[in-house]
Amino acid sequence: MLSDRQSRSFLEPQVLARLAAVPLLARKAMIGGVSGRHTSPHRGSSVEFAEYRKYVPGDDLRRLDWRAFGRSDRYYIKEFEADTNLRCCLVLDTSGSMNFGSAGLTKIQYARRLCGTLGYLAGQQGDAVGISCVANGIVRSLPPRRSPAHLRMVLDILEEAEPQGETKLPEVLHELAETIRQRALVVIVSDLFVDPAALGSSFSHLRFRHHDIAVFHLLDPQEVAFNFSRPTRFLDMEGGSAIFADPSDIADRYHTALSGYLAAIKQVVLESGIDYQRAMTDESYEQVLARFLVGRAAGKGLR
Amino acid sequence: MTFLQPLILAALPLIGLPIIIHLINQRRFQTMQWAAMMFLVSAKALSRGYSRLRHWLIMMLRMLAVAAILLAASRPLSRGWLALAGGGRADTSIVILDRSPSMQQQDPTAEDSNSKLDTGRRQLIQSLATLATGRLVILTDPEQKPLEVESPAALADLAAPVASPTDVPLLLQSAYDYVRENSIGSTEIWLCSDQRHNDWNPESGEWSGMREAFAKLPQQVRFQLLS
Repeated sequence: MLSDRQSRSFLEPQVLARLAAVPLLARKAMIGGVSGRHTSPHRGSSVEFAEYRKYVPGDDLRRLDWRAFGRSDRYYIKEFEADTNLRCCLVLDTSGSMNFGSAGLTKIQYARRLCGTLGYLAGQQGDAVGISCVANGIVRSLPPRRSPAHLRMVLDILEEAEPQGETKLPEVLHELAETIRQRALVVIVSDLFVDPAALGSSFSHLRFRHHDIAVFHLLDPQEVAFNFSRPTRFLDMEGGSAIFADPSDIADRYHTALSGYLAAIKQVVLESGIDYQRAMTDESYEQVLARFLVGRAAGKGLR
Repeated sequence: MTFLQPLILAALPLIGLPIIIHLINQRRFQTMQWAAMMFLVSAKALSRGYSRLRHWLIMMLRMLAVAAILLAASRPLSRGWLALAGGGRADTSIVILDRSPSMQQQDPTAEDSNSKLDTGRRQLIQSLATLATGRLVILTDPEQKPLEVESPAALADLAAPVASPTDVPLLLQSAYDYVRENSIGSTEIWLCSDQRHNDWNPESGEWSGMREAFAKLPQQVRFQLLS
């Protein structure tokens, strides 16, 4: 894996080393194949006590709590939490709009850094990593697996991902909600230039399937500021029709539309309870990831 | 309506300058790839009609501003009801003081023992202060240049009496020359005199010529006689 870190332009060893100190945790119980560091919905043999239940013939007598029997004259079995590994599904938006960038990095380059670093950290802690590149459909997909060779294939897909086509994220997320087996951490990295209501519906679908959802909403500073001085002909990067506009005339209404959209996204986030991180492409991706990881670890009560 | 600087009106086609600048600006557009098209589409849809109306109103106001500047620079003169509507205040007041020895007589109508010249000066100061004229020019001697003063109160310290008669036609000629040479607006000429024959020379042929000359002036000239 060391050779992988050195050969990928979107993986920085120093950043990986710093972020590796904070574990990537799921906010919900996960179903994995092997033992790991994430809570499982089933009972197992970890050291963390879960609950008591009544003894039924056939239960392991070593689990019988004799003190509880002494107090109550009834037989109780002690149950413990089970730990399992995480299935991390990275969903990378590779539509044409992700190729925009005014602050050095385009959104797709920024997204590669986020996905690559997260995938590497997940693999390093023994979790399964998969990836789906989406645009107007699922362009490329790899299901989550734990092997280093599989992680290498995920990083290859990240490196080769080219943004083109229009965005149909809500439809693709509905499809992924049905195709991703078992519970997983679904990390969506996109500019989310879709209808917020449709997006909320797809998030609800993923939650219904017991997935833990994290969204990295990428925005370029120029998309937010919209500070042009000359009349401009704007060409749609997703193949739509061009718009000719005088920014001095249209800027206030653009900002009104943008504010309305961000408010709608915020409402969707609150209603669906997803882990939402807004990242401007001129912001350090390490800070964004650190905020994400520390927020999750704090939520789990870790220091 | 007449104009003191009619040649400036030749620049009236500059009223179209805002439109030309707008068209040039439209041609100077840049082209760029843009990702956030959904916000641009929403912005275009929002209040489309109001935006066009506002755009044309601003263009009209710019053209009107250019026209107003050109019109003001050409210095229009108005007469009749237009002048009345404009307030009727004279742009310049020229005061001609008769300083002949007859003006040193005591004014029989005055309550104090002031001379006719002092009384006339006092009344002129009051009248000019009330009317709030723009520019004030004093003419007392045809051989001296007209004196421009700041306020009517300066009249009190000027124009000491003289021993020789005052040549009123010549003073009026000086006033005419001043109006013509300085291209001033509407003018009021205040004559303070006791109308003695040797000062006014009514049989002189200068009066008819002067009447015609003043009538030909483009700006309005009114005469006020303080007798």
